[in-house]
Amino acid sequence: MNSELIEEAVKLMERGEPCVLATIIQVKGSAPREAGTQMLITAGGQTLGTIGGGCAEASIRQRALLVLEKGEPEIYHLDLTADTAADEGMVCGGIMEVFLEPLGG
Amino acid sequence: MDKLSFFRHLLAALEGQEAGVAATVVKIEGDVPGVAPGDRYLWSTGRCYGSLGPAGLEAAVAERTPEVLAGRRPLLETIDLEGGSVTLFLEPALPGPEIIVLGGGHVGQQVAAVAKLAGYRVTVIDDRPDFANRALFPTADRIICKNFTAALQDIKITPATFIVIVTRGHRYDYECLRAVIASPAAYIGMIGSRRRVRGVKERLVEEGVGEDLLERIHAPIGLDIGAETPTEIAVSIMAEIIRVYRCGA
Repeated sequence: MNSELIEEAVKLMERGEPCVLATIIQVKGSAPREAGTQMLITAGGQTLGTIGGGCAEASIRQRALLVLEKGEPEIYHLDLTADTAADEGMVCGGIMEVFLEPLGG
Repeated sequence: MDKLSFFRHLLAALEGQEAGVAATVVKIEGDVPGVAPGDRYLWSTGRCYGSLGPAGLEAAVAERTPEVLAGRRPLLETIDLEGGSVTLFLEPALPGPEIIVLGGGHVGQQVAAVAKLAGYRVTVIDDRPDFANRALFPTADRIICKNFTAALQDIKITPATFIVIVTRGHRYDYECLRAVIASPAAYIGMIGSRRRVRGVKERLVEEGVGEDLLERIHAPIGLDIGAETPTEIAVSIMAEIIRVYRCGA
């Protein structure tokens, strides 16, 4: 667990700025990062940490902003084996389950 | 309990060098009262911190924490309870790895830079103000300008500590090694030719240090990649440390 990320989450919550903690909870096949990898997404769409880069990260970020609006945590299923991934030139393939947890606000 | 106090507590545990397991409820199936997705618990030093969920949940998690800590890997577990099931994500909350660089010379400077780049916490120790300073170590987390033995006495060495001995001479190498040899550090590496290393080890044996302790020392330091420049040597040392950190050997 990355203490810098947790520290930043605490700072944001203390300032009353909502954010989302994204945690990879399961990977199948060849994914860019392993389970336990985390990323923080602020309400302004800024990110801290990386859970894979490229398209995966972009869609997680987008989904996180929806979760923030909704205020309920969810498991986001990300399929990197889909054709779109190949079209985008993504190298990894594989499936990731990402837990998106809204914090503070 | 609210998220902010939980995360403050988690952060304190991480910074306090306490090993724990953080559990997050990620999914609930059926009707399990007293628990919701996003609920968090922290197990540390045998105690559970966080909102206590339904009966049986705490015990089921406590049972799995040793495995998570030993493997240093997270675990996704579905626990059957009355009325349904709860899926938890259990992650090790371990102090981040720290590298102690003993010696602020050319190699020490490069080790500190590469270690920081790789995301490790970095502490540099040297007894010379001309070497233990911010100008030479712009990214280090701590710079301690003190006699090696005295500085090492003030530092907490844990199983997440990696020690790199790159001082300017075998006298200091010996002092440092003697101070850390029986510590719980994950890694102790010492630079020097085989002859210099042998000399330091022989002196420790004469002092009564056991052979088993001497075997832990990584010397010559670093993976053999034919490194020559200080930066190349730093990369080979960091490669060795990453192997120990990630693979345990």
